[in-house]
Amino acid sequence: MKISRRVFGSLIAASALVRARAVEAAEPVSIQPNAEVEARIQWIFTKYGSRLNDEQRADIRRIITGGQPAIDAMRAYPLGNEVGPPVPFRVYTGKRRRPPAKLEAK
Amino acid sequence: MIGEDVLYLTVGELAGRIRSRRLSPVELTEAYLRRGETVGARLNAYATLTRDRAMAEAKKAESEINAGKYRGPLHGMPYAAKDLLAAKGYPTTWGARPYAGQTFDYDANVITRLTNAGAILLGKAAMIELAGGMGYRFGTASISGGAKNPWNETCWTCGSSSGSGAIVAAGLAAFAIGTETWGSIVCPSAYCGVSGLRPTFGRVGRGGAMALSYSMDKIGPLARSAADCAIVLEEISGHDSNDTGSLQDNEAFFRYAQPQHPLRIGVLTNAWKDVNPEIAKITNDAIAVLRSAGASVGEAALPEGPWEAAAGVVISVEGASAFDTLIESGRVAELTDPLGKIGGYMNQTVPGTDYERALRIRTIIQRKIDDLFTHFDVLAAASLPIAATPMSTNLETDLSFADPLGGIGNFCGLPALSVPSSFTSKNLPVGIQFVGRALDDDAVVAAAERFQSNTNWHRRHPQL
Repeated sequence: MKISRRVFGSLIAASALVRARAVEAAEPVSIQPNAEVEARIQWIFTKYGSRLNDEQRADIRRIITGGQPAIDAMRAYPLGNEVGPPVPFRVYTGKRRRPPAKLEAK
Repeated sequence: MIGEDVLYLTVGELAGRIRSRRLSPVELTEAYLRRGETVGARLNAYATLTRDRAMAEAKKAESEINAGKYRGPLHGMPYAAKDLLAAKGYPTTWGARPYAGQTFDYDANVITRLTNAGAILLGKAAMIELAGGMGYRFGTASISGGAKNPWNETCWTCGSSSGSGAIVAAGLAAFAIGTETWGSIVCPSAYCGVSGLRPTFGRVGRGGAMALSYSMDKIGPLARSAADCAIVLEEISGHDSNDTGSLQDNEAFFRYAQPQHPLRIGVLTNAWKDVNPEIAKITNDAIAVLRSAGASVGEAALPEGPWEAAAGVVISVEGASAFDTLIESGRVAELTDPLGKIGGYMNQTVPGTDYERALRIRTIIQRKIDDLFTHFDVLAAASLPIAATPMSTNLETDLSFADPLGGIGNFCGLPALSVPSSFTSKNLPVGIQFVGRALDDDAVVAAAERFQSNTNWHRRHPQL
């Protein structure tokens, strides 16, 4: 299954979850319910349930369930411990001048 | 009286007339404003016209030019800025109802730079709400309604720089500023038949711009030619101390220098899985034009991997953080689009470990794609596999396809330029895009400029 299909409209933004939902739209697949997906859905319903109508709840369930294979594929990609993110933390020096470089030991 | 033909001239052509005082910036500004109030209103192209500011800036420019103080090619040049860029004292709605009354007491970095260059702000371009940051299902997802495509008003302009595309295509300004997180410059450029440049990430400072994705948002011009895009980028590039992603000046500043060697173009074989046959032929013909013009052309393939999923995770998490106050407040319910009302909640559920993994995957794809550029100066493909779609299209269910080039290009912050490559049998524009190595914005401009010097598709404009 190709997992990178996405929703055209969300090309411009949107969520990975919505984007990945297109997998389901384009190539219907059997996505088994799993505990993680259910936990994420229930977290939303617990925190924001009072704001959601039945249609929105159904959309959330459908989109999160459909998006999980894309996240699973990303998690399965082999990454060594040595591979860090491309933007490491940098110390903040404000407008201070940088201290002069240390002289090399003779 | 300024004729419509003048309103469709390129920045380069307008600048020549303005500099030689054959064209009055005041008259030009008034003509664009009038067209903005009529044609612009019909197309939902502008969120706000900044008439008072525009006329004041136009009079100042005209006075300076008449006094022999010509600042450069954007002096006296009217433009529009996407409504996520702060403009002092005017509404900056981010396209979204919860921010309808928002104003700032300063200009965004980009607007300050353009003001310093003598350009004239005509207005704020309409946009998709929050640049689509919460997701959207329909092209109408905007406080100002759906932006109508000047080539066919039943069709959408694409987003999220939807007004910027319409404004340039309809001759409502000399150029417009848009932004892209994933597709928001390239797609409207293709749908509207204009030239749009997504610069290398960090080249254009985002101070005073709405943030959607701190590591993926870029600001760039939409204009009537690739050369115009280069002119604008030269003015808006440079370090911005209010943007943590901004490059230092030695890398940020852009001064276009045409490569001296024949361009090496890698035509992507896997940018789109299914391309409309008409568009596939148009793209092949466009490549043939470049080959005839002396370019070296070969086939190239994007590396396979979970790049799009990783990029999506990054946008989701950074967007959920950027709009956490809005999401927590429940005011996402005020957004127009049904998907936008719930997208933020879903984005909040992406685990932090997934976000960090996505960033580490970014390191891998940065290296892989950079390797590909050892063989090519630019990668080329159709900007989109389809032409403009009806406004009523459900983007979530009716249009779905993978976009590995857009995913990789935006995830890695690579420059891209989309230019019109022809028109379909229904007279809708088609685009070809060129993607370059990080900081090699010169190459994408050169490829597009080479194409436009041998074709006239960018000279066509709609009958309005």
